[in-house]
Amino acid sequence: MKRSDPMDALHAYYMRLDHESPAAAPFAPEGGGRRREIFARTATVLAPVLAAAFAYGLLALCAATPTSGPSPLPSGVYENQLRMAGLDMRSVTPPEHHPTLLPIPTRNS
Amino acid sequence: MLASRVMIGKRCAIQEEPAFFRSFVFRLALSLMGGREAAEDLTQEVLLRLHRHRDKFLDAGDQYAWVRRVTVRCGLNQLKRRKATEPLSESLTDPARHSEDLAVRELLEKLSPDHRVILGLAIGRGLSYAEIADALGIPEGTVASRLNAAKQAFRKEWER
Repeated sequence: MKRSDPMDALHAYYMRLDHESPAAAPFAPEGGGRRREIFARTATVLAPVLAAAFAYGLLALCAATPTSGPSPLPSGVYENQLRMAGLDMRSVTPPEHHPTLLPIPTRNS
Repeated sequence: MLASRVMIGKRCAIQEEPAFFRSFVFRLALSLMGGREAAEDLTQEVLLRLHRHRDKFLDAGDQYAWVRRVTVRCGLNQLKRRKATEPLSESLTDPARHSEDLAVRELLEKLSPDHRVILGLAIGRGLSYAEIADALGIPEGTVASRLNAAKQAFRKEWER
């Protein structure tokens, strides 16, 4: 049964088409994007907090790392530097032994 | 980097994910194509284009207007490619649908793609002349005359 006004019928057709067809995705700009907005706002708030926590953790890790210990230079670098400076390994006096490595003096009985 | 940058309090936010516009494109495609299946095809094509031209999509001043232009252009091309002898889609042959809708759909199928698109934009989506002019890339005066011609063509088919 046709309506008298074709424009009314056309308008009703588009209205029903829009109503009867479910959205293809949950993120509609007219209200459906609400969840995404909430997610984005939460992320905006949390991002600097997480970044600060990461930076703090990184600093704490650096502070805990021992600075003493074996030289990070690979073996041979020291000798190469000496050679470039015109020095010979044999002319360089070896570094003093660490006191704890010295032999413990024994008392002669 | 955050998935999207939303300006609180404003509706028009800069979206970095084309999928955000999926529902917007689908609703528009429904009005242009008149059936769910064709609308889903068009939506997929448009989203693919948005991914391919991501740089332009991100630089667009008004993303909704930009996405609408792409959707209308793709929809118009699909309607022009479609042959008149093509069988009716599932939504039209579905007996559960409103009988008047079937009549309207049949009449729309007889109209030219230009007339179908402008009816879909003006009556289906309720867009203004300025928005339609922007979507179709034509002056507002042409929008008015084309819309008038489309309504006349629809009335003529209706009274036949």
